[in-house]
Amino acid sequence: MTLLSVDGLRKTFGGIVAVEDVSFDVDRKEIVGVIGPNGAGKSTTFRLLTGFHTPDAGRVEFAGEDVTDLSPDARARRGMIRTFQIAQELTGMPVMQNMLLAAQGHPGERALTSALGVGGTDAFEAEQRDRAEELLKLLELWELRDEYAGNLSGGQRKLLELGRSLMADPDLLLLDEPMAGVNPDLTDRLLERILDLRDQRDMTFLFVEHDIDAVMRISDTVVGMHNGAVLSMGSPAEVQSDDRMLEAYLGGEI
Amino acid sequence: MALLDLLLVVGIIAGVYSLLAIGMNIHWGDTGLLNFAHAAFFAVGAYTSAILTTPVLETGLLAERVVGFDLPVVAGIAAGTVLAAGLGFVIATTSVRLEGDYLAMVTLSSAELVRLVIHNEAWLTTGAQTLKNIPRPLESTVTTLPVSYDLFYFLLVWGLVAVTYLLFERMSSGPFGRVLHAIRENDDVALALGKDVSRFKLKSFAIGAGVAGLAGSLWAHYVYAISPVMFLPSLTFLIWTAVILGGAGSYAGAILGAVVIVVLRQVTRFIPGSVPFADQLPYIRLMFVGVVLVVVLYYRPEGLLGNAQRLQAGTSEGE
Ligand SMILES: Nc1ncnc2c1ncn2[C@@H]1O[C@H](COP(=O)(O)OP(=O)(O)OP(=O)(O)O)[C@@H](O)[C@H]1O
Ligand SMILES: [Mg+2]
Repeated sequence: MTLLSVDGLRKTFGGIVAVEDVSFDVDRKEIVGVIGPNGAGKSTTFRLLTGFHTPDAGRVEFAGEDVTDLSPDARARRGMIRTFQIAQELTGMPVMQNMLLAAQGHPGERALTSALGVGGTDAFEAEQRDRAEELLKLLELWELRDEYAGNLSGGQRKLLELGRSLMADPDLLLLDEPMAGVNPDLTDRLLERILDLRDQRDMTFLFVEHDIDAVMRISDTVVGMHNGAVLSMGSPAEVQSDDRMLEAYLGGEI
Repeated sequence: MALLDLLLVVGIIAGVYSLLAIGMNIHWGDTGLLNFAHAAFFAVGAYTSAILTTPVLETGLLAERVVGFDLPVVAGIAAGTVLAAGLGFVIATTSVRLEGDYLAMVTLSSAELVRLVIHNEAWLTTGAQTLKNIPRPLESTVTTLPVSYDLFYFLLVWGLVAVTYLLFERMSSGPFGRVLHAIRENDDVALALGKDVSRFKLKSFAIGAGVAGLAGSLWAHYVYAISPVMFLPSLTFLIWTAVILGGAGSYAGAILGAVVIVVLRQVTRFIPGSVPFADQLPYIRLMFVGVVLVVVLYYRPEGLLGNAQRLQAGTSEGE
């Protein structure tokens, strides 16, 4: 069953064509890896999918609904959550607060319920703290829960960003280079976790990653991009052996 | 006794300024919104309450005003608060969706517009003249009690400061405040996590403006008489100073900052008129506040009660 349907997306910046006629479908519970050299248009595609850029042309459908004209926050509330390639931590907020912010449908986010602490705010908050604890332990950030996010290392920031997006419990998670700067041991465990979430919570993943090994290991489908366009699409093995992709990477081996 | 009376008056002014600073702190300290219209919200609260609680003047040379409602003071204060919040909402609507600091420009011009309306629409506000005979709440009751009216009003104002402080403190440290803080730090993250950033900004702006309106109403009912010169942009800048001095983001700091500013200004009032440059005193007093601000920020960049760790973490680049 198709969860995300992308049709003919195009985006130019002045003279630069960043994304050119990009189309693909993502099924529910599918893990799709997006690869391609620097500047291929991967992050721009993510921004178009999540509403941070308006496309010059094309259509995005999510869960059967045309979301092309929806704002980023409206898309997020429908279950599409993204991370940023350059971790966007709320540096002046503690790690735990970064996590709790991502909780969806928090009753305490209305001014009055927050001020008066009514409407099930405290119970919901306690529940979310437990979820955050579990995720932070997985990400090896639990000891740092009260630290300001601005004091984390680069790799820790990427991990927090991943944890925060998981806190939102999305249907579709768009991860822009989630493993960049993360040590290999932890990368392995996070990949396991992604597979678990897919199996147990029916989560769907679309992720950009330069760590080709990781992409090949967990992806059901790989989308290879180059110069803004989709060059190759198929199973990891197919894309890996596609001559056009090899060429895109300057003849190097993927 | 005279000293006590003076302290009460200064205390009442400090309480009113504290409310203004609390309102500014939800804007700037919590949400990172630039508001240069605080004096206008204060004025809307004061004039709304004054117009609603006074009768129309029937005769007299300056009886230009043709509206007046003679309502109970409580109704005036409630309406002043709500109307100021409404104005804040409308002003913010024009610019919350725009990138950058349009809100700063819109607030700056709206404040001037409000002042011009008050100045020119004499049928409503008595214009440049003083709007007089604003009733004091429970005045006849209090005079039968063994306390002075100033003491009563002091307790009333500071009671409201305390309640407002508690509510805002809870709001700020709860899930609602968390979203405001996220918006202050990084709009895009809040959007990516599904927060309706514009709505939160509107709410923050309306709530802070409402408190400024409440302060205005309380002010009007204390001083009997108001005129447009009480609501100049310099008031907005004084409140900014109070918030920065106390430590942006801290409500206790906002109150402390307001108290410090009011005390500084009252103390400098007693400089005798015979000193050199006495005719320049208003400017010297303003400069004095500026110097104190610079000195405090030199030693405590986060302000008196601000959070130094947050400031430091917020400016770190990581890696
Ligand atoms: N806001 C922008 N303004 C101008 N040009 C842009 C903008 N965003 C992206 N581009 C250009 O679009 C092209 C694609 O950029 P994009 O960030 O999508 O690449 P990418 O595939 O994510 O690369 P990387 O692997 O290095 O992250 C690049 O040439 C980039 O310079
Ligand atoms: Mg990128």
